[in-house]
Amino acid sequence: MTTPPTDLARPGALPEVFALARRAAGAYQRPDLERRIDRITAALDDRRTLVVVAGDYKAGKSTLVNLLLRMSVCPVDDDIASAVPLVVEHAPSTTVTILRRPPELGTEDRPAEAVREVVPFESLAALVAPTDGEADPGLVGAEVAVPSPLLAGGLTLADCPGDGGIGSFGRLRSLGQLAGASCLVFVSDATAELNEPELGFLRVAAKVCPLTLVVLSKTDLVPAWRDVYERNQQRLQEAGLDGVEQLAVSAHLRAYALADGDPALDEASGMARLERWLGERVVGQADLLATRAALVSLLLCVDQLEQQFDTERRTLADPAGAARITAELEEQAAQLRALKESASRWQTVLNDGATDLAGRVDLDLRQRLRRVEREAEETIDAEDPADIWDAFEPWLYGRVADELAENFALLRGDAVALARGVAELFRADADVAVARLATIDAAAVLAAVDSDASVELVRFKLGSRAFVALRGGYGGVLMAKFLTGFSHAAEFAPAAAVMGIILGNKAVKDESDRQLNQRRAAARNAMRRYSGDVGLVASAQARDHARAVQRSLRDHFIEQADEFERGVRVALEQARASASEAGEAREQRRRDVDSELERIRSLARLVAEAAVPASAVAGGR
Amino acid sequence: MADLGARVDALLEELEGELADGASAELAEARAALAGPLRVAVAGWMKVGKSTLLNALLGEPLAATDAGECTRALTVYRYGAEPAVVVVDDDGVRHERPVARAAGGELEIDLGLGPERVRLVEVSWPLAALGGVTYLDTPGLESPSPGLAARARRALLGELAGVGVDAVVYLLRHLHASDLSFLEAFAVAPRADAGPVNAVGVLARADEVGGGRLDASAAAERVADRYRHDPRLRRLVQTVVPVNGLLGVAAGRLSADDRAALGAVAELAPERRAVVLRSAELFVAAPEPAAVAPLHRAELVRRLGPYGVRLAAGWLASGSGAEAQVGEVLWRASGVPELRALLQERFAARAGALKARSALLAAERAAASCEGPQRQRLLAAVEAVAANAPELAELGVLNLLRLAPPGLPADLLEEAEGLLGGYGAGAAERLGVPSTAGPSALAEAARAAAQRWRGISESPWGDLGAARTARVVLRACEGLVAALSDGGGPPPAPGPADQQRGSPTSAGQPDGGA
Repeated sequence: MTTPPTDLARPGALPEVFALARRAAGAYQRPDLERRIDRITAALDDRRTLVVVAGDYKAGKSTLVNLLLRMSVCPVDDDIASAVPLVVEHAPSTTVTILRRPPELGTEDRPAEAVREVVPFESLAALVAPTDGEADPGLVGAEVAVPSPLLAGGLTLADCPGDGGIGSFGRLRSLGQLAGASCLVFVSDATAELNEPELGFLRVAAKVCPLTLVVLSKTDLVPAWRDVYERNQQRLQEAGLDGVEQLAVSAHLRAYALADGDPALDEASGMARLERWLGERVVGQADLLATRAALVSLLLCVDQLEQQFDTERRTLADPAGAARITAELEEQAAQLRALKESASRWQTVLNDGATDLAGRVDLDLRQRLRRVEREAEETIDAEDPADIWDAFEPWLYGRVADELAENFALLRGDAVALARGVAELFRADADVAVARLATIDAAAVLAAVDSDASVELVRFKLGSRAFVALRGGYGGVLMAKFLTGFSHAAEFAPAAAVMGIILGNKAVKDESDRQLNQRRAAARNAMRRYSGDVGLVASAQARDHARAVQRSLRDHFIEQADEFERGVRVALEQARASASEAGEAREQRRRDVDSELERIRSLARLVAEAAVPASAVAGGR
Repeated sequence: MADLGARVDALLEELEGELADGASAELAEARAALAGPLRVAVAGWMKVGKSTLLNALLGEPLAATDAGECTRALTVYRYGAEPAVVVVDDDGVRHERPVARAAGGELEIDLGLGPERVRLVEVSWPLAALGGVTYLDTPGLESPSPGLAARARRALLGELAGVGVDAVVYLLRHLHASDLSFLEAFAVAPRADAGPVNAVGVLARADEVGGGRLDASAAAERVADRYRHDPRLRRLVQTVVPVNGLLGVAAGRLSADDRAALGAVAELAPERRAVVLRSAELFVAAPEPAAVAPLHRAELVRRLGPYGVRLAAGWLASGSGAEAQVGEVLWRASGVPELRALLQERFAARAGALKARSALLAAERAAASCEGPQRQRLLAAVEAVAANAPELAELGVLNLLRLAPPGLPADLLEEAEGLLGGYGAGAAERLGVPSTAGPSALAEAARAAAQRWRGISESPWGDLGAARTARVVLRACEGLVAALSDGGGPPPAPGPADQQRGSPTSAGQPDGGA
């Protein structure tokens, strides 16, 4: 998959094709197709490629992001770490928006949205990386829009906090955001090789996110970083993560390179390579997929125009058969109407499939949480909760987050499979009516459908409805969940800390059995309560998501059927009109239609040519 | 102090006579330890730099520190007239191993059996640094699940308890939540021999905090200072100091060639120097200083780190001193001397009490392993000794001041900690007066403190914990008053008045002084 970006990415070529198609739709009285082409163009222009930057506490994530952007956006400090995720995207002028937790979680149908507040750039550091170490608990994230050439192509970077280490809350947030990301950039500094918690995170991330890159940071500090690089490669391989690439960088050296204007040093810093890698492997690839989907949608539109004139031409060429052709068209229109009815095959399958999907995901989630509970109980029974609680709590969050991430991956996979199945049926049923549909690459149609269906999923907007309900996966709600606290832990520590400190305090020892049992019971309750709450919230979200997929698929196909039907009607009218023509007028009309057809066909060729390299490259998702 | 040591020793001897062979072996070890040097364990997560720090403390790079290598078994470094390496297996059998050293001086220890079968490795070495202290290097902990982590910690604690530890140096990297839970697990584990009173935190690899810049030490000091005031860390360690172990090891081992090479770097124009020192790799690849071969540069940056080279060259270029002194400058910058002094002040000065405490814990374990009336009787005997040791009460209260501070204002808590020797065992440190103060000023301060704390201990308004704390502090003040009026010098911690009190009360609930 090391294909360089094709001409598709060349600015100019695509907009022209789209503009041409839109003019054609206007000229042939198809406002519905005009609207559709507008939507396709808008979606293509507005696409975002999300790259999540995650890693352990103090690995150099924010510095890396700043030097990728070549500007100081993320607050960086030797001591203070970022406390909330920071999303950086492109805009002509700099805007900083902070997001606060909504006062309430909202309902199933109307998830609460984060409260957005625009703040001056100067106050960002104090909010995101507070010097007193205590972040505002209501703060869930910040969005920074900056004019950056790197981001102009739709690349969005999310700098996730590593607070508490990768085994803890940071992981929960990062995994939540990974659910819709195109790529994970995992930062690990060169002073030590990847450790077990880091590898554990990477293993789960690989199931959620299609592409992962390990960035070995701070190489300027470590003379022996090549050894660390080699051992990381080996550890990745042992962990079954052979597909994960690794790049060594020194953001520090790039800072010098930028100051001196020294491209050779920039190359030596590894940052230039990282930038290219992101451009080619992430943005380039995402562009190919998005462009392909857009072109296939466009091809369908042009196809309808062609069909409209093709029918008229047949009528003109064979006046005797006009009645037969009109009857055919009427039958097609009826078929398309039937396709929109709720009893149609594809709708039945869609409705059943969505119900099954929700059920299956819910069952999977329950099984997963049950498994975590069992593991947790074994640990609680084997140990004194007072001893292990501080390690247990982050472990529990981490395990639950892992399982949720995998459950979410299942949900996504199943939703895409459902979309494909429905598209297949729709195509089969619409086949009769729309002949050319069958000749179009089925996979490409599905890519278009898929991209439409998951458009809500893929758009990354922290705090938008999509973020809370779908896109943040379960992360958004869980974030609120853990921010409201899991404070039972506090009950354990003080009592336990005094224990065993005063020499020979018998009272403590004699009581210890009873107290131990109490502590275990309390620990089990706290753990089950957490797991139960998570289960409720997550399964509501899974149902929501299944419903959203269902809705978006249904709307997509009904609209498609509408378009086809409209196409048939226009063709019908024109066929009727031409049937009444005679003699010279008929010949004239026939020549007109021929030349229109020629124009449309050349447009279709243009679109198809543009689409071919793209579909040849991307093997579907 | 000898009194307490002697009494504990007598107790151990008595127990030894009563108990079965297995238990008495441990007691014999505890007795030996009581007479031996202070035992300091170095603990922390994997790859945090335990072995490097140890080498710096030893002043000799004995522990292997290769990036890939790590300490696999508990290793004890103690003084010996002749270098020797002994592997002790599970069954306590001692296997003598050849003393082999790698090019860099690190010991190459052939365990001869699987690491899981090795109880500990004993390294004896004729080093001045091992004169009064025995160091324990612990295997690094790394574990993804809390159950496993707890087991690993317990195993380590068990091993440490088996060997005996008087004080612990915890290595932290720039702080993780996992560092905290690691420390807390040590502190609250029922059998832990460690409380904040005998634990010190070390912010390891201090130069990396500031990205190896020249102001890295200031950044590290800032971080360490925040940790010192972090309420969670205060419960766990006495203080936190930043240390750059790498510099500590290298500083004492600079050859004339090395110094000349650093001198050559210093002679570069400042902006050229900054350019060649931009990264470890660029320093090796740079065309200058031509006088220093790239191989030698690679060697220097490996041993000193980019920060060490920057610091040494910068100092030489500033003209503050001669090349010969550069080792001394690096040594001071490493933070190791401060750590050594700290260990000396906080631990060595309390060595008697700390060792007696460890020995009593061993005695208590042995007594608790018995059955029926014998158990009761032996535990009572242990407690009788413990209860009559005001040094231990002081240790206990010092711990409690950190773990569960009684209801006293912050300035009084700090004063109490000082009077109990939390900031140093000398009279001036305890009283918080300048070390230049004369005997009369010290005595005056001691009397004032005694009066203040008598007031607090008798106050009807304070809570129970405050009153108990005040009684222990008062006794320490009275000890100071007595010692200072006797003619100065560090006070013997147990005041003469305390020896008369023989009631077997718990050490944690001492009665008021005379």
